[in-house]
Amino acid sequence: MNEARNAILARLNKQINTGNSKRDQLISTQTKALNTKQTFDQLTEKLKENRAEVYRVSSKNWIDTLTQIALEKKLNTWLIGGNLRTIEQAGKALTEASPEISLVHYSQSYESLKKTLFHEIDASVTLAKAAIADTGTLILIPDKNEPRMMSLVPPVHVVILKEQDVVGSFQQLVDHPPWSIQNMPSNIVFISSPSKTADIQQTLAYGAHGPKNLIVLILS
Amino acid sequence: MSDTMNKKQVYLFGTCLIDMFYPQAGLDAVALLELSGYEVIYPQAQTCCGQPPYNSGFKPPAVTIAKQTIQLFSAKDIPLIVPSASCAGMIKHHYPTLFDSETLETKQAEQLAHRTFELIDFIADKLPYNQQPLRPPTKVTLHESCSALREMNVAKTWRHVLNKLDNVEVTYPENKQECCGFGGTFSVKSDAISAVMTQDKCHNLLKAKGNKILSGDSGCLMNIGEHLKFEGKKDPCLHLASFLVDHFGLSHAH
Amino acid sequence: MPTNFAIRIKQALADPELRANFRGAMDFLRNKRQVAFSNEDEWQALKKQGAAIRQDAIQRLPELLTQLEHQCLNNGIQVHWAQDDQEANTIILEIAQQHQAKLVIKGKSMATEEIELNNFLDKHNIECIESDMGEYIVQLDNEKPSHIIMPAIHKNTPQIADLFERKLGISTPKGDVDALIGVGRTILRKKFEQADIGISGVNFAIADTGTLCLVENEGNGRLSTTAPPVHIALMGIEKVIPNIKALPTLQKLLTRSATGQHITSYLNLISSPRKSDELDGPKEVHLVLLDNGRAKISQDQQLQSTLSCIRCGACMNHCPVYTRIGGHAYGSTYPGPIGQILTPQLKGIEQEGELLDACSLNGACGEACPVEIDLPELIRTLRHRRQAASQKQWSLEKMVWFIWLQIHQYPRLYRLTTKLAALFRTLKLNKPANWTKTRTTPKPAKLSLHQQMKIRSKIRDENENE
Repeated sequence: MNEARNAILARLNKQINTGNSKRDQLISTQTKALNTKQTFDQLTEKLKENRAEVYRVSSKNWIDTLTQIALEKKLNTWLIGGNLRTIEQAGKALTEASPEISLVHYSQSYESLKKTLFHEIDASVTLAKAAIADTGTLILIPDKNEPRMMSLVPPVHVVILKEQDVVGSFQQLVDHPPWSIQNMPSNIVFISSPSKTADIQQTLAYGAHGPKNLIVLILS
Repeated sequence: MSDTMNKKQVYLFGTCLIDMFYPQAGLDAVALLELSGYEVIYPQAQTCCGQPPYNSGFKPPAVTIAKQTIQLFSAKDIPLIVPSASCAGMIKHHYPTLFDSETLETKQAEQLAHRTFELIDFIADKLPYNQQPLRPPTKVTLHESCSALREMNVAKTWRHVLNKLDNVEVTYPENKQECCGFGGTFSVKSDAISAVMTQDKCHNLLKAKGNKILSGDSGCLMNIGEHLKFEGKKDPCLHLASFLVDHFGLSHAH
Repeated sequence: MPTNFAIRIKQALADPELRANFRGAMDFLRNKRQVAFSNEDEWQALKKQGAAIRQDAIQRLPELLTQLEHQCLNNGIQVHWAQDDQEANTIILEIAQQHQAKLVIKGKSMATEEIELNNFLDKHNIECIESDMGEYIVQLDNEKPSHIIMPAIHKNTPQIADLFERKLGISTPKGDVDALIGVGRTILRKKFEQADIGISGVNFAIADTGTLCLVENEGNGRLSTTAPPVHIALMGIEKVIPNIKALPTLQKLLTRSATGQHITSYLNLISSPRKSDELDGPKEVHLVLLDNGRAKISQDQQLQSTLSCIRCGACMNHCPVYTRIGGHAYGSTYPGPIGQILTPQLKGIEQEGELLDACSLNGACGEACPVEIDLPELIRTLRHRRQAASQKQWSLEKMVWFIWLQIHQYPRLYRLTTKLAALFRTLKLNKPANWTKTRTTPKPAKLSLHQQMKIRSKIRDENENE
């Protein structure tokens, strides 16, 4: 296999270039920086355009909002991550809101929890690390507390986002990323809408494989 | 002593299609250029720009013809006017790429390319729009050829010129950006595909209900016109140059 | 004797349902894209940037691939190099066998279509299920994808409903797309749960952090690369980019060009397998770097820009030929303009050069390309290469152009020929049959432009001398 590597690299090294490189074009286009309100408005507008439900909440009422959503939509089995105080509080409030509501903590390996994950969860709630306003995109960095499947398997996915973590554009995000370049997370996921597809005669349908509903609580 | 010595001069590259099948369009090009104040020089030794073999994959014959054409039109450093966006494109954009870089041929090709213009684009700002004769109102459909839309980027100019004409309503076919199906030898080599493209284009052009179908490319006009005739319809195609000559009440040059 | 290509073209053109499906789909996708790029200045700036990023990367492939490999290895991603489809298939098979895999679930990957992975694994008794809805549909019908972004674009809703009924025994109300998607979701969910291996493609690989970027709307890509214990990513070597700062531009160009979306539902950045403290994610991640003819293309200055392609599909969406014959007619993994350029280079210009004929050089593809690949020029260049390489000493076409050259090279001969053509203009001489099937033949003018200009200048001279 080293043989393959060497052969391929040898072939690539045979390239003769005219030096007609367009490297001077490699500057990023600066997007206009928006103020916080514009950023927030744009984020909300884009998310709603893409069929996400958006709620503006405060640190005082977000848990109430979450509980209300659970009751209205009859979401009874909630998947939550571990070791996060705010999430623990939310979980407690949920179970107190109705005897029908129960929690599943994602605290075992995926392999042990697989059946539950695929068959018993109605909704999950996770935190977003950042968001991009001009495309209405939430940035999640799954980790040991909030593993990847949380934002993927349940039919309803709720995301908590802090307003101050919103940036204007993707370019701005990568200029100051909320992750370590030297020690990249195993997975970073950008979420901009519920799962969808237009593969059948270009007709848009939601809930292809990922969550059918995306609910965003933006904490100001 | 003629007064032509004081006039600005241009070369006319008639194109082989116009030469053989639509010479009136060539004469109308001359009329428009003369109206715009130019003396037209038409070297008899011109034949073809070389695009047909070039596009078909036969580069050597195209290069031979190109060399000849470049020489012929390099005697004077004057504009070369081409009443066809597609042939103009060949000379302007492809001639400079045919030879090894840094050679004399390339330099000459670049020099020629620099002064090569599609006809309507060249005269667009020179026509006497303030002195248009009164003409009965008419509706025309403009076919913007692929070369005009893309390679030569003169479709906008065609529209502007027509929009400046009094009593002329311009319509466009649905999917106007789509190729008419001519593509030179494509119409013969990939005839099945070309046929349906041509059918669709003709259908859309007719739906636009112009009395005439105008374009600056004779290849397209031939493709469309001959198809319509095959379908038992009249040939409503007319070169933009001919339409303008008629509109401005010029006698067709002869 | 018509070629297979000619036969497929004819079949496609004679199929009104196919024609309608493609017409509708292409118009839809083009309009979506136009809305997304409605700001002309932004489009111009973005594509210049995109072109520069891709060209720079292609010119630094050895350096970037080495860096990518190094970073991936540091991150715990295993890296394999495959010179051709055989090697790639073997590498993937070996990984599968090491894990005694019985079921493979696939995210969407045109590269795996290129190497015909599904067939290969199938021969070795490994079941390979497509999880992208469009891919799942074509797999169900034993077909290949007909478009690189929307694999089942050649089918309409009733046809798909019929297919599900025939192959799955599940009937859905004929117009109900949601119901059909629901069927797919239910069936494939089980497969995600059960699969031993997940295989994906890679949209872009970021060299400086060893990160694989995948974009998608459905979530099957994420599921295929998260649920199974092993993830194998197959990637053409040209897909590498230097760092994440290049990603926003390329992502914008890709999603807007492909579907008119400003961003897809999901954008996934994968840098390592499951970390020791993590609870999910694949325990092993493998990156297979596929050459299969790409390195050779990179050596060719004139054709190198082929590798800039980000697989957005805009070229085929704008191609009037593709719109009418559909993807399957091309008979190759990649259809449309990019397919006409790639396939002869990957599989040989003599075998696949005929694809190049199905092009009127109208330029719509090049105009739409978000990384400024001059697709018409590449098609033209390949046509030149094809003729230059042609073994046939004599062909009708060669003779035609030989005669053409004689006539057009000698002005006197040219003028004589046009005079004769004019003289015999009323005779019904043998005209190219392909033209006359649907058109009348133009009659040469009585007097050519040459003749009329000569007469004119004679008259002028006479007038001046009076």
